[in-house]
Amino acid sequence: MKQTLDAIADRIISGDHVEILPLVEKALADGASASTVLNGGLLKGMGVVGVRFRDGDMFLPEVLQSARAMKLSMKILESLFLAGEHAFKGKMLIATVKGDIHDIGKNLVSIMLQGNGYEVIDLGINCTTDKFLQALADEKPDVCGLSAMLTTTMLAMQSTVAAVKQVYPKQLVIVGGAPVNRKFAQEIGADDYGHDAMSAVEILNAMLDGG
Amino acid sequence: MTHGLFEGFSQRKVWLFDGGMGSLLQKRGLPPGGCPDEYNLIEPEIVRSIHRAYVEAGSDIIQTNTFGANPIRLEMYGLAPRSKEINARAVVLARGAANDKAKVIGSMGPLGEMIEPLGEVTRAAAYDAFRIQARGLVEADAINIETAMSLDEVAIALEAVRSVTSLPICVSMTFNTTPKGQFTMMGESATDCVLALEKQDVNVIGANCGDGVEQVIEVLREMALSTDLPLLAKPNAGIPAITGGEEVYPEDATSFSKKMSRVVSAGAAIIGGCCGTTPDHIRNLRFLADEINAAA
Repeated sequence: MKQTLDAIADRIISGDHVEILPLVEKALADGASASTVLNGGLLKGMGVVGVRFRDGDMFLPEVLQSARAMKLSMKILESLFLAGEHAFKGKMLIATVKGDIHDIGKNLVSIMLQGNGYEVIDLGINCTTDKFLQALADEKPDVCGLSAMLTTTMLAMQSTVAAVKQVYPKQLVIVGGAPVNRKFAQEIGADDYGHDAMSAVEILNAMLDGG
Repeated sequence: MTHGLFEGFSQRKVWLFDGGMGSLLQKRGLPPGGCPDEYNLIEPEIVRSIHRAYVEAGSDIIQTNTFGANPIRLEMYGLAPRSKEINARAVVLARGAANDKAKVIGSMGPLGEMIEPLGEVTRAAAYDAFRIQARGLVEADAINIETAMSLDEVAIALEAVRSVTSLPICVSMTFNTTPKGQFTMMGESATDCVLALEKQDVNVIGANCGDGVEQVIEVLREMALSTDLPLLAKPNAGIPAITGGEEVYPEDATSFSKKMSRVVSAGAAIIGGCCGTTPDHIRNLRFLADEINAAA
């Protein structure tokens, strides 16, 4: 079994979305549970992808291939999780703030989080504070994240974070985007700042670990 | 093929480009999330006055306000059908402000979305978008495919531009600092970019935007090792901080031009600024360029 799980992890790392599927089927046929395949194979592989991406040993095109392999494998697993078993490590609500129409960075965060076992609700670009608050009420995510690419929309980020914290003081909020830095994140009352997509995964892992 | 971007290019060691446009439009009333390119149509006097400020500051070359004026990006504002018109208008505005004192370069930024197989935009749609934009820019003196983050996207843009005009072309890439050095979003090194772009017969290669002058120095040094083509450098004035609700870029005109002298040593033949740089930055760079050209 370990051999099959390792092979699954390898296919995630190499981004082979064709060969991985029969391996996932084989692991299940050999008796592995959905969560064993997820944790022992898929997430193990994505962990390596994340580290390589952070260290500059892998780049966006390869990461997207890995994410695709992950996504297709999850399709097989989704219906197989048992009651009480969690398909996801946690739930994240994400958006690019009002006035900002950039989504490559946000999408990458979304892909990396999904690839690392999180459920992601993506509200897209140019998201108003009202829309964001409504989605928080509807989705009740563990963590919410805001992205801004423009220096001018960092101010929209500030007001949305303030509104979130006013209505839901305990809601975890993380922020990121090209002009954003840790100092700014602290100033506006966000709980953490992610420098890139991989650090978003690391932050969620730390925030929700045992939580 | 023309050396550089226009006739007589090799007669000077350093040419002076302009500075930021978007950040100045915001100061003049462009709302957050507003479409900078639309200002060519609805606030032409503001665009013209920014161009004029750069020409007065000493720019030899100014760039059209068309960074996002391709139909795919304009579609986010419902302006896709007006792409060609916006670009053509932008050239007229820049040309008027240049008043024969500066060359006019047509700016073409990235599509803002990823192209298949990585993203949803088909190669045909990408080609069409660049082609429509280029059609509007044909009256410029040259084209600058800028802030490019993918050689694949650049190749499509080059093909599209060349299908409508034989203007000289500069390709300026944007790099990210990684633990392993400088790479584009797609993982291409400065050397990869130079080798690919030389093969595609571009006239000038460069680096713009990014996280500041030091980064561009590193990139240009690497580029200079593998090409004799003229190089362009148009870095940001660093990464801005928000202080008291206002964005502040770390490099003021003095510190910027001091650092930019090292960009010239690294091999730049065209220097200017990207986000956060102003006519003040360019005025200081004018002194630098004059000094270097006088000594050459």
